[in-house]
Amino acid sequence: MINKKGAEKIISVYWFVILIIVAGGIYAMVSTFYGHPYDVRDLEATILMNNVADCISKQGHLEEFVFDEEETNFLEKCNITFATEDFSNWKERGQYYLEINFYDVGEINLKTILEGEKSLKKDCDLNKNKSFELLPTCVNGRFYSLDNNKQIFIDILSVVRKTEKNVKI
Amino acid sequence: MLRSKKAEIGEAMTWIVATLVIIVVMTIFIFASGKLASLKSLGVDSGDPDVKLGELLPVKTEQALFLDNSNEKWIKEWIKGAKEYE
Repeated sequence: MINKKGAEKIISVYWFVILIIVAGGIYAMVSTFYGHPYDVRDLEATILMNNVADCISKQGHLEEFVFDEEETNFLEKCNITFATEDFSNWKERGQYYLEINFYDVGEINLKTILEGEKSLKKDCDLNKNKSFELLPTCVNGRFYSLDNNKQIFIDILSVVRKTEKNVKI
Repeated sequence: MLRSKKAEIGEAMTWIVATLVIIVVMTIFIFASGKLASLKSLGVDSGDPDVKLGELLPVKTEQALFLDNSNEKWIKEWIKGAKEYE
């Protein structure tokens, strides 16, 4: 009888141990899953690229300001701002880079627009297969448009860094 | 006395095996949630199916091709030459 009571006590302690293990496991699972941020850089870079495309070409025609020598503030013209929140020294180093190349039929470069942090571009080639998630995300897109009935080919490279908020470090 | 001892050992073994099974299952689940977490990403094709972000540039090209489709084949080949970072 005494023996039975002792065994019951041991089992109740055991149950508490199991309860703690299961609760700890569930906590670990939830915190692992929800502690990992969503990587939206691909989406952000694509939106940036689309906004640029929408700004420079409308209904198949290039906007006049594109080849206007006097027009120097491209970002302002397209209502794009590269300002970021003051997080993890983001203010010191830009988090965006934009490169737009305009070519003619002979693939001769007519104009290049460079905006943002230029040092981000070199990371694009290193991260070709997106195997290094700590490196910036790059999106490249091409399209065709007309400038006074002249065929123009546009190549846009959009780069977003913001690693600290998109990747678990 | 001996029978009682055997029964106790049998019961203890059941609990030990059960504990091990629980620990193994929990470990697998924790690893799986870690693996799933690393796949969390919002890509261009995810979200609202009516909003297709990847389709804007082809639409722009089609608009221009509608106005002037000379060199169409070459243009489409050139566009395909965009770098893939995926």
